[in-house]
Formats: sequence, structure tokens, C-alpha cells
Amino acid sequence: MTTMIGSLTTVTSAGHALAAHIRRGQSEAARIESEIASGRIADVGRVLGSETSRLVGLRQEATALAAAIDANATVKSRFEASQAALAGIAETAGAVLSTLMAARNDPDLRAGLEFEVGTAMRALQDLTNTTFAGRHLFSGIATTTPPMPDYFSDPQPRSRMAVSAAFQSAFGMTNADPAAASIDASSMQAFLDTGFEALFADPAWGSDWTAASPEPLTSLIAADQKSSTSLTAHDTAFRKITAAFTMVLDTGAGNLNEAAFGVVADAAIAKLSEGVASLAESRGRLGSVEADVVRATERMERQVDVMRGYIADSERVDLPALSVTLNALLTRLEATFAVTARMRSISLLDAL
Amino acid sequence: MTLGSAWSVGLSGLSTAADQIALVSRNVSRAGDADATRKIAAQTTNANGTVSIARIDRTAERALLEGVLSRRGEAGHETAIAAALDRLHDIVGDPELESSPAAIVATIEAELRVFAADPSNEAAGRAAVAAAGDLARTLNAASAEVSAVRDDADRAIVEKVESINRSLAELEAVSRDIRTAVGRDGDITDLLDHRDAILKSMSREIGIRTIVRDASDIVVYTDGGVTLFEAVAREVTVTPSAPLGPASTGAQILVDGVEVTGLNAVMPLRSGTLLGLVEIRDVIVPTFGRQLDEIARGLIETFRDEAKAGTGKPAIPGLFTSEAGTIPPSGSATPGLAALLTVHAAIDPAKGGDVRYLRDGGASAPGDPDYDTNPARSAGHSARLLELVAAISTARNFDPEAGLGATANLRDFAAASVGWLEERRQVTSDRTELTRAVSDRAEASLLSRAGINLDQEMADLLRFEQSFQASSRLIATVDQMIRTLIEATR
Repeated sequence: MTTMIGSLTTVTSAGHALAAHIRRGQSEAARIESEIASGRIADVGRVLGSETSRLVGLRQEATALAAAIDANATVKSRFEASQAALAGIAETAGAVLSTLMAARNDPDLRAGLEFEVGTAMRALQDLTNTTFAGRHLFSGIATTTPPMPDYFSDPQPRSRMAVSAAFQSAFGMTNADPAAASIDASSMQAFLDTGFEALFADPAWGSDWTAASPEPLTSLIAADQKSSTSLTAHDTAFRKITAAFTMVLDTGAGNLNEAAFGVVADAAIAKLSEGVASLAESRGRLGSVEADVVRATERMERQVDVMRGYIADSERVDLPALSVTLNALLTRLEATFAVTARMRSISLLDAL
Repeated sequence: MTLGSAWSVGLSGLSTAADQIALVSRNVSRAGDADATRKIAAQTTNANGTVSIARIDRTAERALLEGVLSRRGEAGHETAIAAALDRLHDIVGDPELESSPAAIVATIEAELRVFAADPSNEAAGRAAVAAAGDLARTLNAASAEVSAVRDDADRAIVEKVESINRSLAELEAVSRDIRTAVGRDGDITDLLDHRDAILKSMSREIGIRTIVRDASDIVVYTDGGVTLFEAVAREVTVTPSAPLGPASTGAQILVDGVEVTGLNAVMPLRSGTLLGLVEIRDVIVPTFGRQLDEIARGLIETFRDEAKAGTGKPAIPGLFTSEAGTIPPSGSATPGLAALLTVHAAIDPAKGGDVRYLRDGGASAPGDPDYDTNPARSAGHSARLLELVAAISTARNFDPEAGLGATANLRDFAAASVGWLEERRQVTSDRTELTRAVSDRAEASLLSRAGINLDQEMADLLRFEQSFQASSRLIATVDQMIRTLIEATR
């Protein structure tokens, strides 16, 4: 006796095959249903194989870039706060400049000058010591230290004592001495050009005037693009503006004769003008780094979008194809059930 | 022909039909048994016209059985490997979960970038250290899992070897019974079925080939050619190796005293669960373990603190360290390092450390100015952090034996490890699917050729019933005739 219809002759074997079929079909259907629900490949690693490392790599990159974008947001708000403080300094310096120019030609205005510049000096200090989120903006990397000690504190700060000492050594008297009226214009000019000038150069500036670190904050503004992202109180603008204010305050201004005051006023005007110009330049530099940061952020945002898009595309399932597959699978499963049921009824046993 | 011989022919038909029906019932009773073959009675007609059953045959399909045996071996091999790879996959997880070492490396980089943007923010520093702790724990756990998978494989090897030896002993017993039955001219078909069932169950564990010398005598070899059974069972032996150290290779399997696994095997196994388990224990999982060790070593190296130029001092561990407290040699794996990786206690706030060592360096040598990048303790010091961020994507040397190339940066190396694993998973599962389909097919054809079909048995039953009825009618008729004869002669 030979078998009747190939492999399905034996009921047992047919039963085996069908059971395995149903089992596999059901787990396949469950997988497809979950994929349709999530829209994403259920077992990415198994389906994509070695390609998975690329996806993992892209996710790594996206994580790093997202962090860089966050970091740039911090940097950008720091820039904004810095620019606001610098604008304040520019305004203060501008106001003093016009007062000085007026007082240069009108002796009646000399009296109020010292008070006004004193106020401006305090404003300069406050603005330079601006903090943002608890960090000093112009301290370089020494963010916890206020960059400018109070010029008017008691006891006197090193800066003020250094100015007095320089005056003393140049003219043999204190800067509050009424005898300062005897100082002539040329020796005042000489003092301002040498002894006084040296106070605002390195290393005196760093040791007497500011506690800021000369090292600006450095940030990674893109994946691997490093940039200095802060202005420190060591910047020329701060030195020149401070120097101009100090000239008016502590070179015996009140007691000076007309000619010597003229030298001081001219020098202060010149310093202040340079300081304002230098400040504008520094602000421009800062602004261009800020623009770099904004551009880098935008670029990175685009990159992250592209990466996330690529990842999503790679892991996405083809929904229409999947539902077709599912339908076909379910139809096949139903057919299998039907055949299994029918097989029981096609046994010759029932006919006996 | 005399009435007497007609009587005996009828009688023999009757008893043969009864025997045939008995055989049908034997077949029917085993119809659900996948190991049962269909028994056929070879009926002969004797010289005097009577019929009798000469012997019982079975529908054995030698070639199909051989196919099933080797398919089962392949399926066993691949299924074992697929299961182990799935366990390793759980370490890595779905890419979306970002739980793999590769993803956490990226998280550390991200936290470092945020910290570098505001180095005086201690919370940002703590977040970076927390990510580092996460990675160290992930690698510790992964390393433990690697050891567990290897030990489990070794224990499974020992169990499989025992079960193969049991099967071989059973085979020996059955073969003895078959020889005895042949000597008595008895029915050996059920014994042969039993023998085939033993072979089928054994073939999953160890790849086998069989040679049938005559109906009763079988020789079993491994698929590499070492004799497993010839009249008597040969012994399969292995020494338990668990727990296995990270650098050690397990003991090899011997058949009849000959090594059949490992590099020294002259006639190595080619399939079977046993081979899969040995590959898991000695090749696949150790390679993955070496990748983890290399990730750990790469972390220590990436985050190390270099001494200032000209001091001649060695680099020392920074954020990541191990018990040894030194930088392991570059470019070669330190076995078991992943299990020992920790975040430096001087940095980890959870262990009383200070995150400033992450910002400034010198965690392993506090107070040594040669490792201190920020002697002024400036709160905004980001240079060192930026160096660390850059170091993560700096190419460095890795152990080529980890299977991921000799140079890569830490981030890519960790990502490549995921790819390595998933590629193996993909290949193995595709192959498993294929093997399973082929194997199902082979078993189905064996069943359909050699198995029992109820319908056929029922049809036969009808036939034998009719033959029984015919024979009894014959006897009744002969009886009637003899009675008539006796009536007539009274």
C-alpha cells in the first residue's frame, strides 16, 4: 500500500505540521500587531543586525548634540546678561565723557565733577561685578569671585593705595594735599604717562585692581568647536575706563591749578574715549561669538532632527505592507484552523 | 483439493486475518506516536495453499531518518546559540531604551558637556558622575551575566553529556535485545522503532551519523567521525569547569577518549546542542565579555589624568578606576576588568568624594600639583572637562581579539559592540528559522512515509474483516458440505 497524498497522508504528521504552523502563525501575528500599534520594529537588533551599531551611534551623537544645544542655551543667556551689563558700562562712560568735556571748558562745573565720577565708578564696579545665575560674568574662570573690589571701601583697597603711593612718589605729597596746586602741567603729564599708566598695566592691574582670572570661560559651542565665551575684567576697555575715572578722582583733582587740571581732564577724556571705543569693539567680538553660538545651535538642531528622522525611518515599519501581511497571515491561520477541524471529520473512522 | 485442505486453508485465512487485525490495532494504538513506524505483515502462501504471516516489516525510511538526524543536530546547535545571544541582547537592550553601555557613554559625554558649560554647577557635575556610576554598574552587571551565561553553558554541557551517555547505554541495551530477538526469529520492529527514537533524541544533543550493517546492527559516529556506538557504547566525558574565570577556557568534550571540541580536535563535532554550548562557553560569550572588558579599559584610559609635561610621572586613573588603581596597558584586554570597574571614590559624592576632581583632575593623587589642572580652584575651569569630552571621541587602541578592530574611539567601540552582537543574533535567528523549516519538512516527510495513517489502517481493517468473513464463510460452507456428506452416508 502506498501513501495517498504526499506529506499529508499521515494524520499524525499533518496534525504536527498544522500545530507548529498555528503556533508560529500566532506568535508572528502577535509581533505584527504590536508593530502596527507602535509603528516601530519590535526587535530592532534582530531585524537590522550590524546596522544597529549605526543606529546606536546616531543616538549617541544625538544625545551629545542635544546636550551641546542645552549647554549653548546656558552660554547664550550668559552672553545676553553680559551684553546688558556692558551696555550699562558704555552708557555710564558716555555720560562721564560728556560731563568731563563740559567741565574742561567751564571751571564752574569742576566742583560737581568728583561726585559724579565717584557715582560712575560705583556704577562701573556694580556692573562689572554683575552675576548671572550666581556666577560673576566678568571674572573669567574664577566665577565665584567678584572681579572688581570696592574702590571706596574702608580700609582702602590695594588699588586706591597704589594710586596714592604712585602720586606720593611722583610729587612727594599725598593726593589730598592742597599743595598739589603747585604741580605744573608738564610734570602732571609726565606722571600720567608713566607712574600712573603703569598702575593699569600688567602685572599691577591683575594684582591691585581685579580678582578676575585672565582666562575667559571656554565652551564647546558645537560638537568639537571650542570658543572663548566670556569677557574678563582684564579687557582693555575695563582698564581704560577705570583709569579715566581714577584720574579724575585721585590725582589731586580738587586742588590742581587750571593748567594741570586741563592735562588731567584731557588725559581722562582721551582714556575714556579709547575705553568706550575698546568696549564697543569687545562687545562686537562677544556679539560675533554669540552669533556663532546661535548658528551652531541651529546647525546642531537641524542635525539632531535629521538623525532622529533617520533613526525613526530605519526603525519604522511599513504599515500598509504590515497590515497586508497580517491579513494574509490571519486568513492563513483561519484556513489552518478550518483544515484542522475538518481533518478530524474526514477520518474513515467515522464512516465505520 | 480435498475438503480437508479447503478447511485448513480457510482456517489459516481466518487466523491470518485475525493476526492482521491485531497488527492493525497495534498500529492504531500508536498512531499518535511520532516515533512509531507502520508495521506491515508480510503474508505468504504456503505450498499446501494455506496462508501465514512470514514476518513483520516496518516502513523504515533510512535516508529520511538520516536527514532528520542531521537536521536535528543543526537545529540543536543553532537554537542553543540563539538562546545565549538573546540573553546577551538583554544586556544591550533595545536601542530606544538607551540602556546599552554605548548609550550610557553618550549620556556621560552629554552630562560632561552640560557640566563644562557651567563648571561651577556642582549639580551638573553630580549628574555626570551619576551617569558614570550607571555605566560602571551596567558593565559590572553585564560582566556578571557573561560569567553566568558561560557557567550555565558549562553546566548544561555536563547535563547533556550525561543524557547522551544514558542514551548510548539505552542504545546498547536495545541493540542487545534486537540481536536476541533476531536469534529467536522474533518481531524486532518495535525494538527498531525504539532504537530510532533514541537516535532521534540523541541527535539533537550531538551531531550523529549512522551506518546500518544489517537490520539489527547499527554503528553510530559523531558527525566528525568519532565512533559513539559500535556493539557497545563508547563513553562521552567532560570535566565540569564552572565557575569559569574570565580568562579561562572550559574543559573539552571527549568521545571515546578523543577530543571532539576545541582547537585541538582532529575530528571536531559539527552540530548538536553540545557544540553550540561549547561555542557559547568558549568563543561567543568570551568575545563579548572581552568587548565589555575593553569598554571598561577604554573608560579608564579615556578619563585618565596625565601628569604635567616634563614631570615624567605616569598617567593615573580619573573618573573610572578599578581595584588595581592603575592604567591597564593599552590595546590589550584585561580579563574581567568590566566586573571591577568603579567610579573613583574621590570623585563619587555617594562615596564621600568631590566632583571637583572631575573638573580639576588628580583624583588618584589629591594634593599632587603635577596632576592638578586648576591650582587656583577657579569655579569656571572648563579646560579639563573639554579635554575629557574630546577624549571620548579620540581614536585609541583596542584589543583586536575583541573582534571590533584595533583602533576606534570609545563611543564608536561601544556602539560597534552592539552591532557585533545584533549581527550574530540576526544571522543565527535567520539560520534557525531556515533550519527549523527544513527540519520540520524532514520530520514531516519521515512521518508521512513511515508513520501511521488511521485511514489506511481503517481501510485495511475493512479488508481484513472481509477476508475474515470470507474465510469463516468458507469454513461454514466446508462444514455444511461435510455435514451434507455425513447426512448422505448415514
